[in-house]
Amino acid sequence: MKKINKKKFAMSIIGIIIFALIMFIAIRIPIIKQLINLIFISFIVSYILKPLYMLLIRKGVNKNAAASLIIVVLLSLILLTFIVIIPSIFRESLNINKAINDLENYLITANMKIKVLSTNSVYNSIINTIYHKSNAQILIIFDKIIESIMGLGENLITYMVSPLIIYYFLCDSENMINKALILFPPESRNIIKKIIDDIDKVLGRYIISQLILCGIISIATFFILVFMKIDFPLILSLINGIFNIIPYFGPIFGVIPAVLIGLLSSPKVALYTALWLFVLQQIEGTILSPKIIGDSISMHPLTVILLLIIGGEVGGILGMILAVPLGVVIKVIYQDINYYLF
Amino acid sequence: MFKSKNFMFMDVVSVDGKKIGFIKDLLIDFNRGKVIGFQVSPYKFFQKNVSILKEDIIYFNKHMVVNKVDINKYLTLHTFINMDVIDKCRNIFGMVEDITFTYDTFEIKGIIISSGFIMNLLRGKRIMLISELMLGEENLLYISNCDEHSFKSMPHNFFVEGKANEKN
Repeated sequence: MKKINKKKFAMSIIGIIIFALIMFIAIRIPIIKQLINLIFISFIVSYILKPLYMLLIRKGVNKNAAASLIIVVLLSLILLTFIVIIPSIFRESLNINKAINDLENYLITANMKIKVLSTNSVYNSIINTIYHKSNAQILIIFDKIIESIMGLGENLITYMVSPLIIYYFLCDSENMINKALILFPPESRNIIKKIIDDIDKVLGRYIISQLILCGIISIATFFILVFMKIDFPLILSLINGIFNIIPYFGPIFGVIPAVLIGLLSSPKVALYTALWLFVLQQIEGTILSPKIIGDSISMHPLTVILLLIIGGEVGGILGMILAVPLGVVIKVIYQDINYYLF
Repeated sequence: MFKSKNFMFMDVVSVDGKKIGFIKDLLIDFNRGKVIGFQVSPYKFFQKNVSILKEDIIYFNKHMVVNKVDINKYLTLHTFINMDVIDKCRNIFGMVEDITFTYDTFEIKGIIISSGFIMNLLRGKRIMLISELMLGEENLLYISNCDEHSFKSMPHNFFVEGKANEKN
Protein backbone atom coordinates (compact mmCIF):
# COMPACT_ATOMS: atom_id res chain seq x y z
CA MET A 1 0.00 0.00 0.00
CA LYS A 2 2.69 2.42 1.07
CA LYS A 3 4.90 1.55 -1.88
CA ILE A 4 2.19 2.38 -4.39
CA ASN A 5 1.61 5.66 -2.62
CA LYS A 6 5.27 6.55 -2.83
CA LYS A 7 5.41 5.67 -6.50
CA LYS A 8 2.33 7.75 -7.19
CA PHE A 9 3.79 10.62 -5.24
CA ALA A 10 7.04 10.52 -7.22
CA MET A 11 5.11 10.33 -10.49
CA SER A 12 2.99 13.32 -9.65
CA ILE A 13 6.03 15.37 -8.63
CA ILE A 14 7.77 14.51 -11.91
CA GLY A 15 4.60 15.44 -13.77
CA ILE A 16 4.42 18.81 -12.05
CA ILE A 17 8.09 19.51 -12.82
CA ILE A 18 7.65 18.64 -16.51
CA PHE A 19 4.52 20.79 -16.69
CA ALA A 20 6.33 23.73 -15.08
CA LEU A 21 9.26 23.32 -17.49
CA ILE A 22 6.95 23.30 -20.51
CA MET A 23 5.19 26.40 -19.21
CA PHE A 24 8.51 28.11 -18.59
CA ILE A 25 9.66 27.45 -22.16
CA ALA A 26 6.29 28.32 -23.63
CA ILE A 27 6.22 31.72 -21.94
CA ARG A 28 9.51 32.57 -23.66
CA ILE A 29 7.91 32.20 -27.10
CA PRO A 30 6.31 35.54 -27.93
CA ILE A 31 3.29 34.19 -29.81
CA ILE A 32 2.30 31.89 -26.98
CA LYS A 33 2.90 34.64 -24.44
CA GLN A 34 0.64 36.96 -26.41
CA LEU A 35 -2.00 34.26 -26.69
CA ILE A 36 -1.92 33.54 -22.98
CA ASN A 37 -2.15 37.26 -22.28
CA LEU A 38 -5.13 37.60 -24.58
CA ILE A 39 -7.01 34.67 -23.11
CA PHE A 40 -6.23 35.76 -19.57
CA ILE A 41 -7.50 39.30 -20.17
CA SER A 42 -10.62 38.09 -21.97
CA PHE A 43 -11.30 35.61 -19.19
CA ILE A 44 -11.07 38.29 -16.51
CA VAL A 45 -13.25 40.71 -18.44
CA SER A 46 -15.85 38.07 -19.20
CA TYR A 47 -15.84 36.97 -15.57
CA ILE A 48 -16.46 40.55 -14.47
CA LEU A 49 -19.28 40.88 -16.99
CA LYS A 50 -20.83 37.58 -15.97
CA PRO A 51 -23.21 38.96 -13.27
CA LEU A 52 -24.62 41.42 -15.81
CA TYR A 53 -25.08 38.59 -18.29
CA MET A 54 -26.84 36.42 -15.73
CA LEU A 55 -29.13 39.34 -14.90
CA LEU A 56 -30.08 39.69 -18.57
CA ILE A 57 -30.69 35.94 -18.83
CA ARG A 58 -32.93 36.04 -15.79
CA LYS A 59 -34.89 38.88 -17.38
CA GLY A 60 -35.68 36.46 -20.19
CA VAL A 61 -33.22 37.55 -22.88
CA ASN A 62 -31.86 34.97 -25.28
CA LYS A 63 -28.34 33.68 -24.45
CA ASN A 64 -26.66 34.85 -27.65
CA ALA A 65 -28.59 38.11 -27.70
CA ALA A 66 -27.56 38.91 -24.14
CA ALA A 67 -23.89 38.19 -24.83
CA SER A 68 -23.84 40.24 -28.03
CA LEU A 69 -25.66 43.12 -26.33
CA ILE A 70 -23.02 43.20 -23.61
CA ILE A 71 -20.22 43.10 -26.17
CA VAL A 72 -21.73 45.95 -28.19
CA VAL A 73 -22.13 48.08 -25.06
CA LEU A 74 -18.55 47.28 -24.00
CA LEU A 75 -17.11 48.16 -27.42
CA SER A 76 -18.99 51.44 -27.60
CA LEU A 77 -17.84 52.31 -24.08
CA ILE A 78 -14.21 51.66 -25.03
CA LEU A 79 -14.55 53.73 -28.20
CA LEU A 80 -16.18 56.56 -26.26
CA THR A 81 -13.39 56.62 -23.68
CA PHE A 82 -10.77 56.71 -26.45
CA ILE A 83 -12.55 59.54 -28.21
CA VAL A 84 -12.82 61.49 -24.96
CA ILE A 85 -9.54 60.60 -23.26
CA ILE A 86 -6.92 61.04 -25.98
CA PRO A 87 -7.83 64.63 -26.91
CA SER A 88 -8.13 65.43 -23.23
CA ILE A 89 -4.66 64.06 -22.52
CA PHE A 90 -3.23 66.34 -25.20
CA ARG A 91 -5.09 69.32 -23.85
CA GLU A 92 -3.95 68.37 -20.38
CA SER A 93 -0.33 68.18 -21.48
CA LEU A 94 -0.58 71.72 -22.85
CA ASN A 95 -2.00 72.86 -19.54
CA ILE A 96 0.73 71.10 -17.62
CA ASN A 97 3.33 72.74 -19.85
CA LYS A 98 1.86 76.06 -18.82
CA ALA A 99 1.99 74.99 -15.19
CA ILE A 100 5.66 74.04 -15.57
CA ASN A 101 6.38 77.42 -17.10
CA ASP A 102 4.61 79.08 -14.18
CA LEU A 103 6.69 77.03 -11.79
CA GLU A 104 9.86 78.04 -13.60
CA ASN A 105 8.96 81.69 -13.44
CA TYR A 106 8.10 81.35 -9.78
CA LEU A 107 11.42 79.68 -9.07
CA ILE A 108 13.34 82.34 -10.95
CA THR A 109 11.66 85.15 -9.06
CA ALA A 110 12.23 83.30 -5.80
CA ASN A 111 15.82 82.86 -6.79
CA MET A 112 16.15 86.57 -7.40
CA LYS A 113 14.64 87.37 -4.03
CA ILE A 114 16.95 84.97 -2.27
CA LYS A 115 19.88 86.41 -4.16
CA VAL A 116 19.01 89.77 -2.75
CA LEU A 117 19.16 88.27 0.72
CA SER A 118 22.35 86.32 0.22
CA THR A 119 24.55 85.36 -2.66
CA ASN A 120 25.00 81.87 -1.35
CA SER A 121 25.73 79.37 -4.11
CA VAL A 122 24.09 76.53 -2.11
CA TYR A 123 20.59 78.01 -2.60
CA ASN A 124 21.33 78.39 -6.24
CA SER A 125 22.39 74.83 -6.76
CA ILE A 126 19.47 73.41 -4.75
CA ILE A 127 16.93 75.34 -6.76
CA ASN A 128 18.63 74.37 -9.99
CA THR A 129 18.60 70.68 -9.12
CA ILE A 130 14.93 70.80 -8.06
CA TYR A 131 14.03 72.43 -11.33
CA HIS A 132 16.02 70.02 -13.49
CA LYS A 133 14.89 66.92 -11.61
CA SER A 134 11.21 67.82 -11.79
CA ASN A 135 11.51 68.67 -15.46
CA ALA A 136 13.21 65.35 -16.22
CA GLN A 137 10.61 63.40 -14.23
CA ILE A 138 7.73 65.00 -16.09
CA LEU A 139 9.40 64.28 -19.42
CA ILE A 140 9.86 60.64 -18.45
CA ILE A 141 6.20 60.33 -17.44
CA PHE A 142 5.05 61.71 -20.78
CA ASP A 143 7.43 59.43 -22.65
CA LYS A 144 5.98 56.47 -20.81
CA ILE A 145 2.39 57.46 -21.58
CA ILE A 146 3.15 57.86 -25.28
CA GLU A 147 5.10 54.60 -25.33
CA SER A 148 2.25 52.67 -23.76
CA ILE A 149 -0.22 54.12 -26.25
CA MET A 150 2.12 53.06 -29.08
CA GLY A 151 2.43 49.57 -27.57
CA LEU A 152 -1.33 49.33 -27.45
CA GLY A 153 -1.46 50.24 -31.12
CA GLU A 154 1.05 47.53 -32.03
CA ASN A 155 -1.03 44.82 -30.40
CA LEU A 156 -4.28 46.32 -31.53
CA ILE A 157 -5.08 43.48 -33.90
CA THR A 158 -4.70 40.84 -31.23
CA TYR A 159 -6.75 42.86 -28.80
CA MET A 160 -9.41 43.36 -31.45
CA VAL A 161 -10.10 39.64 -31.22
CA SER A 162 -10.70 39.75 -27.50
CA PRO A 163 -14.36 40.89 -27.70
CA LEU A 164 -15.06 37.78 -29.76
CA ILE A 165 -13.36 35.60 -27.19
CA ILE A 166 -15.27 37.34 -24.43
CA TYR A 167 -18.48 36.67 -26.33
CA TYR A 168 -17.80 32.94 -26.49
CA PHE A 169 -16.63 32.84 -22.89
CA LEU A 170 -19.93 34.39 -21.90
CA CYS A 171 -22.40 32.27 -23.80
CA ASP A 172 -20.50 28.99 -23.92
CA SER A 173 -18.74 28.91 -20.57
CA GLU A 174 -20.40 25.80 -19.11
CA ASN A 175 -19.51 23.76 -22.14
CA MET A 176 -15.94 25.04 -22.07
CA ILE A 177 -15.36 24.28 -18.40
CA ASN A 178 -16.55 20.74 -18.92
CA LYS A 179 -14.27 20.32 -21.92
CA ALA A 180 -11.31 21.78 -20.05
CA LEU A 181 -11.81 19.23 -17.29
CA ILE A 182 -10.77 16.50 -19.73
CA LEU A 183 -7.23 17.34 -18.65
CA PHE A 184 -7.92 15.73 -15.29
CA PRO A 185 -8.72 12.09 -14.60
CA PRO A 186 -12.46 11.40 -14.38
CA GLU A 187 -12.57 10.41 -10.71
CA SER A 188 -11.12 13.76 -9.71
CA ARG A 189 -13.52 15.91 -11.73
CA ASN A 190 -16.19 15.88 -9.07
CA ILE A 191 -13.92 17.51 -6.51
CA ILE A 192 -12.48 19.95 -9.03
CA LYS A 193 -15.98 21.04 -10.02
CA LYS A 194 -16.81 21.59 -6.38
CA ILE A 195 -13.68 23.68 -5.87
CA ILE A 196 -14.49 25.75 -8.97
CA ASP A 197 -18.01 26.26 -7.62
CA ASP A 198 -16.66 27.46 -4.28
CA ILE A 199 -14.24 29.87 -5.93
CA ASP A 200 -17.02 31.15 -8.16
CA LYS A 201 -19.28 31.71 -5.17
CA VAL A 202 -16.79 33.81 -3.21
CA LEU A 203 -15.21 35.60 -6.17
CA GLY A 204 -18.56 36.39 -7.76
CA ARG A 205 -19.72 37.95 -4.52
CA TYR A 206 -16.51 39.97 -4.30
CA ILE A 207 -16.79 41.24 -7.88
CA ILE A 208 -20.44 42.24 -7.57
CA SER A 209 -19.77 44.08 -4.33
CA GLN A 210 -16.75 45.85 -5.84
CA LEU A 211 -18.77 46.91 -8.89
CA ILE A 212 -21.50 48.33 -6.66
CA LEU A 213 -18.96 50.23 -4.55
CA CYS A 214 -17.12 51.43 -7.66
CA GLY A 215 -20.40 52.74 -9.09
CA ILE A 216 -21.40 54.51 -5.88
CA ILE A 217 -18.00 56.18 -5.51
CA SER A 218 -17.83 57.19 -9.18
CA ILE A 219 -21.27 58.83 -9.10
CA ALA A 220 -20.57 60.62 -5.82
CA THR A 221 -17.18 61.85 -7.07
CA PHE A 222 -18.79 63.01 -10.32
CA PHE A 223 -21.25 65.17 -8.43
CA ILE A 224 -18.54 66.58 -6.18
CA LEU A 225 -16.33 67.46 -9.18
CA VAL A 226 -19.23 69.02 -11.11
CA PHE A 227 -20.12 71.01 -8.02
CA MET A 228 -16.50 72.18 -7.65
CA LYS A 229 -16.39 73.00 -11.42
CA ILE A 230 -13.24 70.95 -12.08
CA ASP A 231 -12.45 69.92 -15.67
CA PHE A 232 -13.01 66.37 -16.94
CA PRO A 233 -15.32 65.24 -14.12
CA LEU A 234 -16.28 62.06 -15.94
CA ILE A 235 -12.76 60.68 -16.38
CA LEU A 236 -11.59 61.77 -12.96
CA SER A 237 -14.56 60.20 -11.22
CA LEU A 238 -14.07 56.96 -13.15
CA ILE A 239 -10.39 56.94 -12.16
CA ASN A 240 -11.34 57.47 -8.54
CA GLY A 241 -13.93 54.69 -8.72
CA ILE A 242 -11.51 52.23 -10.28
CA PHE A 243 -8.73 53.03 -7.84
CA ASN A 244 -11.18 52.53 -5.06
CA ILE A 245 -11.08 48.79 -5.76
CA ILE A 246 -7.66 48.75 -4.08
CA PRO A 247 -8.29 48.76 -0.36
CA TYR A 248 -6.40 51.17 1.94
CA PHE A 249 -4.01 52.62 -0.71
CA GLY A 250 -6.45 53.08 -3.57
CA PRO A 251 -8.42 56.06 -2.27
CA ILE A 252 -5.21 58.11 -1.96
CA PHE A 253 -4.11 57.35 -5.54
CA GLY A 254 -7.60 58.08 -6.84
CA VAL A 255 -7.80 61.52 -5.30
CA ILE A 256 -4.40 62.73 -6.52
CA PRO A 257 -5.32 63.41 -10.20
CA ALA A 258 -8.47 65.26 -9.23
CA VAL A 259 -6.57 67.44 -6.77
CA LEU A 260 -3.79 68.11 -9.31
CA ILE A 261 -6.27 69.26 -11.93
CA GLY A 262 -8.00 71.34 -9.29
CA LEU A 263 -4.61 72.89 -8.52
CA LEU A 264 -4.42 74.13 -12.10
CA SER A 265 -7.41 76.39 -11.52
CA SER A 266 -6.59 77.48 -7.97
CA PRO A 267 -5.16 76.08 -4.72
CA LYS A 268 -8.39 76.85 -2.86
CA VAL A 269 -10.46 74.69 -5.23
CA ALA A 270 -7.92 71.87 -4.89
CA LEU A 271 -8.09 72.05 -1.11
CA TYR A 272 -11.88 71.92 -1.06
CA THR A 273 -11.94 69.05 -3.55
CA ALA A 274 -9.47 67.11 -1.44
CA LEU A 275 -11.59 67.77 1.63
CA TRP A 276 -14.85 66.63 0.02
CA LEU A 277 -13.29 63.53 -1.49
CA PHE A 278 -11.71 62.75 1.87
CA VAL A 279 -15.15 62.94 3.52
CA LEU A 280 -16.54 60.65 0.80
CA GLN A 281 -13.74 58.13 1.36
CA GLN A 282 -14.35 58.18 5.08
CA ILE A 283 -18.06 57.48 4.61
CA GLU A 284 -17.25 54.71 2.17
CA GLY A 285 -14.49 53.23 4.30
CA THR A 286 -16.38 53.14 7.58
CA ILE A 287 -19.95 52.40 6.54
CA LEU A 288 -20.22 50.86 3.09
CA SER A 289 -17.01 48.92 2.55
CA PRO A 290 -16.89 46.75 5.67
CA LYS A 291 -20.48 45.73 5.10
CA ILE A 292 -20.14 44.96 1.40
CA ILE A 293 -16.59 43.61 1.17
CA GLY A 294 -15.89 42.37 4.68
CA ASP A 295 -18.78 39.95 4.52
CA SER A 296 -17.69 38.53 1.22
CA ILE A 297 -13.99 37.85 1.75
CA SER A 298 -13.53 37.62 5.53
CA MET A 299 -9.80 38.31 5.44
CA HIS A 300 -7.70 39.94 8.09
CA PRO A 301 -6.68 43.54 7.24
CA LEU A 302 -3.03 42.66 7.80
CA THR A 303 -3.22 39.90 5.19
CA VAL A 304 -4.87 42.34 2.81
CA ILE A 305 -2.12 44.92 3.29
CA LEU A 306 0.63 42.32 2.78
CA LEU A 307 -1.11 41.09 -0.38
CA LEU A 308 -1.35 44.66 -1.66
CA ILE A 309 2.34 45.30 -1.10
CA ILE A 310 3.29 42.09 -2.93
CA GLY A 311 0.85 42.87 -5.75
CA GLY A 312 2.22 46.39 -6.09
CA GLU A 313 5.79 45.12 -6.31
CA VAL A 314 4.95 42.49 -8.90
CA GLY A 315 2.49 44.19 -11.17
CA GLY A 316 2.10 47.83 -10.24
CA ILE A 317 -1.43 49.18 -10.01
CA LEU A 318 -2.94 46.27 -11.93
CA GLY A 319 -1.20 43.92 -9.53
CA MET A 320 -2.68 45.77 -6.59
CA ILE A 321 -6.17 45.49 -8.07
CA LEU A 322 -5.75 41.78 -8.74
CA ALA A 323 -3.94 40.95 -5.49
CA VAL A 324 -6.98 40.67 -3.24
CA PRO A 325 -9.10 38.48 -5.55
CA LEU A 326 -6.10 36.22 -6.17
CA GLY A 327 -5.57 36.00 -2.43
CA VAL A 328 -9.22 35.07 -2.02
CA VAL A 329 -8.86 32.32 -4.63
CA ILE A 330 -5.77 30.92 -2.92
CA LYS A 331 -7.56 31.01 0.43
CA VAL A 332 -10.56 29.13 -0.95
CA ILE A 333 -8.32 26.51 -2.56
CA TYR A 334 -6.43 26.06 0.70
CA GLN A 335 -9.66 25.68 2.63
CA ASP A 336 -10.99 23.16 0.15
CA ILE A 337 -7.79 21.11 0.24
CA ASN A 338 -7.99 21.18 4.00
CA TYR A 339 -11.60 20.04 3.80
CA TYR A 340 -11.41 17.31 1.19
CA LEU A 341 -8.07 15.90 2.24
CA PHE A 342 -9.33 14.80 5.66
CA MET B 1 -22.19 14.15 8.43
CA PHE B 2 -22.17 17.86 7.78
CA LYS B 3 -19.38 20.27 8.45
CA SER B 4 -19.84 24.01 8.73
CA LYS B 5 -18.57 24.45 5.16
CA ASN B 6 -21.71 22.77 3.81
CA PHE B 7 -23.74 25.74 5.02
CA MET B 8 -21.42 28.74 4.78
CA PHE B 9 -22.48 31.33 2.19
CA MET B 10 -25.75 29.48 1.51
CA ASP B 11 -28.48 31.84 0.38
CA VAL B 12 -31.47 32.10 2.66
CA VAL B 13 -34.90 32.75 1.17
CA SER B 14 -38.19 33.28 2.97
CA VAL B 15 -41.31 31.31 2.05
CA ASP B 16 -42.74 34.15 -0.04
CA GLY B 17 -39.57 34.23 -2.11
CA LYS B 18 -37.77 37.20 -0.59
CA LYS B 19 -34.02 36.97 -0.28
CA ILE B 20 -33.04 37.38 3.35
CA GLY B 21 -29.27 37.03 3.19
CA PHE B 22 -26.57 34.42 3.40
CA ILE B 23 -25.43 32.14 6.18
CA LYS B 24 -22.48 33.53 8.02
CA ASP B 25 -22.24 31.40 11.10
CA LEU B 26 -23.73 28.45 12.95
CA LEU B 27 -25.66 28.79 16.20
CA ILE B 28 -24.71 26.22 18.77
CA ASP B 29 -26.08 24.95 22.03
CA PHE B 30 -22.94 23.63 23.65
CA ASN B 31 -24.71 22.03 26.62
CA ARG B 32 -27.05 19.91 24.57
CA GLY B 33 -24.42 19.40 21.89
CA LYS B 34 -26.58 20.54 19.03
CA VAL B 35 -26.59 22.99 16.17
CA ILE B 36 -29.74 24.99 16.82
CA GLY B 37 -29.72 27.25 13.79
CA PHE B 38 -27.82 29.68 11.63
CA GLN B 39 -26.75 33.28 11.76
CA VAL B 40 -27.65 35.14 8.61
CA SER B 41 -25.99 38.27 7.28
CA PRO B 42 -28.68 40.28 5.45
CA TYR B 43 -28.20 41.74 1.99
CA LYS B 44 -29.81 45.04 2.97
CA PHE B 45 -27.79 47.88 4.45
CA PHE B 46 -28.24 49.07 8.00
CA GLN B 47 -29.75 45.80 9.09
CA LYS B 48 -28.31 43.67 11.83
CA ASN B 49 -27.57 39.98 11.59
CA VAL B 50 -30.58 37.76 12.16
CA SER B 51 -30.82 34.23 13.48
CA ILE B 52 -32.66 31.32 11.97
CA LEU B 53 -33.68 28.44 14.17
CA LYS B 54 -33.69 24.86 13.04
CA GLU B 55 -37.46 24.48 13.57
CA ASP B 56 -38.14 27.27 11.09
CA ILE B 57 -36.16 25.71 8.27
CA ILE B 58 -38.44 24.19 5.66
CA TYR B 59 -35.87 22.88 3.25
CA PHE B 60 -32.27 23.35 2.29
CA ASN B 61 -30.09 22.26 -0.56
CA LYS B 62 -28.41 24.98 -2.58
CA HIS B 63 -30.68 27.55 -0.97
CA MET B 64 -32.37 27.49 2.36
CA VAL B 65 -36.08 28.26 2.68
CA VAL B 66 -37.28 29.42 6.06
CA ASN B 67 -40.56 30.21 7.76
CA LYS B 68 -39.55 33.11 9.94
CA VAL B 69 -36.50 34.82 11.36
CA ASP B 70 -35.49 35.29 14.94
CA ILE B 71 -33.70 38.35 16.29
CA ASN B 72 -32.35 36.83 19.51
CA LYS B 73 -28.64 36.24 19.93
CA TYR B 74 -27.11 32.83 20.48
CA LEU B 75 -23.67 31.30 20.84
CA THR B 76 -22.04 31.10 17.43
CA LEU B 77 -19.44 28.66 16.13
CA HIS B 78 -16.92 31.40 15.44
CA THR B 79 -16.76 32.40 19.10
CA PHE B 80 -14.84 29.24 19.84
CA ILE B 81 -13.20 28.46 16.54
CA ASN B 82 -9.41 28.91 16.87
CA MET B 83 -9.62 28.53 20.64
CA ASP B 84 -7.01 26.25 22.19
CA VAL B 85 -8.05 22.92 23.58
CA ILE B 86 -6.19 22.11 26.80
CA ASP B 87 -6.38 19.43 29.43
CA LYS B 88 -6.17 19.73 33.20
CA CYS B 89 -2.36 19.86 33.10
CA ARG B 90 -2.47 22.68 30.54
CA ASN B 91 -1.21 20.51 27.71
CA ILE B 92 -2.33 22.04 24.43
CA PHE B 93 -3.94 19.66 21.94
CA GLY B 94 -4.53 22.15 19.14
CA MET B 95 -7.08 24.63 17.92
CA VAL B 96 -10.75 24.07 17.25
CA GLU B 97 -11.18 24.01 13.50
CA ASP B 98 -14.65 22.77 12.76
CA ILE B 99 -17.50 20.62 13.98
CA THR B 100 -19.25 17.69 12.42
CA PHE B 101 -22.95 17.14 12.96
CA THR B 102 -25.56 14.66 11.79
CA TYR B 103 -27.79 15.11 8.76
CA ASP B 104 -31.17 14.89 10.46
CA THR B 105 -31.01 15.94 14.11
CA PHE B 106 -28.07 18.35 13.80
CA GLU B 107 -26.48 16.67 16.80
CA ILE B 108 -22.80 17.56 17.09
CA LYS B 109 -20.88 14.32 16.89
CA GLY B 110 -17.39 15.64 17.06
CA ILE B 111 -15.19 18.68 17.29
CA ILE B 112 -12.27 18.70 14.89
CA ILE B 113 -8.98 19.80 16.38
CA SER B 114 -6.30 21.06 14.03
CA SER B 115 -2.64 21.23 14.94
CA GLY B 116 -1.35 23.16 11.91
CA PHE B 117 -1.40 22.10 8.28
CA ILE B 118 1.86 20.15 8.19
CA MET B 119 1.23 18.45 11.51
CA ASN B 120 -2.22 17.50 10.27
CA LEU B 121 -0.70 15.86 7.22
CA LEU B 122 1.67 13.85 9.36
CA ARG B 123 -0.49 12.96 12.32
CA GLY B 124 -4.07 13.51 11.19
CA LYS B 125 -6.65 15.70 12.83
CA ARG B 126 -7.84 14.75 16.27
CA ILE B 127 -11.60 14.51 16.68
CA MET B 128 -13.03 14.96 20.15
CA LEU B 129 -16.51 14.26 21.39
CA ILE B 130 -18.47 17.23 22.59
CA SER B 131 -19.22 15.47 25.88
CA GLU B 132 -15.50 15.45 26.62
CA LEU B 133 -15.14 19.19 26.26
CA MET B 134 -16.01 22.16 28.43
CA LEU B 135 -16.29 25.61 26.92
CA GLY B 136 -14.44 28.34 28.77
CA GLU B 137 -13.77 32.01 28.13
CA GLU B 138 -10.40 31.53 26.48
CA ASN B 139 -9.87 27.81 26.12
CA LEU B 140 -11.74 24.57 25.85
CA LEU B 141 -11.04 22.08 28.60
CA TYR B 142 -10.65 18.46 27.61
CA ILE B 143 -11.79 15.91 30.18
CA SER B 144 -11.13 12.41 28.96
CA ASN B 145 -13.85 9.96 29.83
CA CYS B 146 -11.87 6.95 28.81
CA ASP B 147 -8.32 6.65 27.64
CA GLU B 148 -8.98 3.65 25.45
CA HIS B 149 -10.24 5.35 22.32
CA SER B 150 -9.34 8.47 20.50
CA PHE B 151 -10.53 9.44 17.05
CA LYS B 152 -8.48 10.78 14.22
CA SER B 153 -9.13 11.96 10.71
CA MET B 154 -6.22 11.03 8.47
CA PRO B 155 -5.31 12.62 5.15
CA HIS B 156 -6.49 10.48 2.27
CA ASN B 157 -6.69 10.53 -1.49
CA PHE B 158 -7.75 14.04 -2.30
CA PHE B 159 -9.88 13.21 -5.29
CA VAL B 160 -12.02 10.44 -3.89
CA GLU B 161 -14.99 11.26 -1.76
CA GLY B 162 -17.07 9.38 0.72
CA LYS B 163 -16.98 5.78 1.75
CA ALA B 164 -14.09 4.70 -0.48
CA ASN B 165 -11.64 6.19 1.99
CA GLU B 166 -13.04 4.85 5.20
CA LYS B 167 -11.20 2.02 6.83
CA ASN B 168 -11.12 0.54 10.26
